[in-house]
Amino acid sequence: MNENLNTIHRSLDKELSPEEQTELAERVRTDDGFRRDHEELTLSVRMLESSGRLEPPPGFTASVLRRLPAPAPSLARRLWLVLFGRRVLHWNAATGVAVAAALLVGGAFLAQLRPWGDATAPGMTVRFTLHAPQARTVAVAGSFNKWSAGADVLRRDDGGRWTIDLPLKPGVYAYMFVIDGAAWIPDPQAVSFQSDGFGGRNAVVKVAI
Amino acid sequence: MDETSQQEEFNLIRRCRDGDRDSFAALVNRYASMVYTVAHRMTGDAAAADDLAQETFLAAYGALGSFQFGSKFSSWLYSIVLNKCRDYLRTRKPSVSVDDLAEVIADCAATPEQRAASREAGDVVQAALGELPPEYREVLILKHIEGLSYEEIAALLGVSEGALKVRACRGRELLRSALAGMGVTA
Repeated sequence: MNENLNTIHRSLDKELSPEEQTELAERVRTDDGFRRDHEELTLSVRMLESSGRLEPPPGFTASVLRRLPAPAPSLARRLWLVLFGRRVLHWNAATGVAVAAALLVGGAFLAQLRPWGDATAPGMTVRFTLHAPQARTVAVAGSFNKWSAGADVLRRDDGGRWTIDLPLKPGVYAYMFVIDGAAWIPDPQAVSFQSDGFGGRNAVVKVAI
Repeated sequence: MDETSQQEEFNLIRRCRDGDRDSFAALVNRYASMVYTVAHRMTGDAAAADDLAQETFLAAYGALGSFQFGSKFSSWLYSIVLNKCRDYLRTRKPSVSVDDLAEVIADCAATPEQRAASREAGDVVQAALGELPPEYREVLILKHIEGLSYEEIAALLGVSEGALKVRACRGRELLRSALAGMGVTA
């Protein structure tokens, strides 16, 4: 860019010193080419400046607000919706058949297990044994006797083996041995275990016909 | 904007963050013309400008949580709308044709001064801006229509002030040529 145009642009950016403004005015008065450049560039900028701002179409703000995402429901509202909100279940014949089959299989399985059955009803006799020669007393506590540590006490034989036979109705029962009334241990010979919910595990016995 | 107005604006933004739509409506009303003007002058298309301006506010609403208090909300909006315009221009052909220019010129008054002052001056400016590459167009819009300083524009565009001044000079030369081509300044 030549020096003349640079001066005009600096003038348009309002960067000229008073002395430079005086020189520019003198050049405009005496130099036809400079004056034409100055007038045309100044007019271009004035047209830009005078074009001003435009108003958006009527209803602009309302249109923006309509497009805003729906407000997120409060925590209480979300909880209410989870608990009581109505839902639409989309299904077809295949889904219905699958659900019915699942209910049949699940029901049959549950009927077979009867996990917390009535232990007082007649059923199988189950023998509980524990080899603990040093123990003074051994009892078995479980879901069949409301976890009582004194209800079902085992008997010791000469070899240090503790035994008790309990009549249990078919079902699944969790249990522990209680040694000397204080130490609760799961049956080391149990074939399955389940969490006791406190970081430990209970032995599990399944009684089936 | 004075400190009180800015504080009031920050309060509006805080209420928006809490889900108050009336406060957001107040912000939209305050900046609708600014955002729409930039979009319109950048694209030369009223319908596109309407859509881009709306999208600008929707994007701002969605990102209000990341707004930095202490910076200017208007600067934030300028950045968003310019990005939207750049994306739009990348995917669309220029909307101003030579025929459009001739039609606009035919409607103009006799002398350059009268043309500048006439109602159609905005149309002439729009048509001439459409002749410029977008990077020159945005500098002229921000500098001479929105009245921002080079410092503010530099912060918005991430370009040095020196480079911006060179771009503004070149943009004014191109605008002058475009207007001359339309018979306005020659």
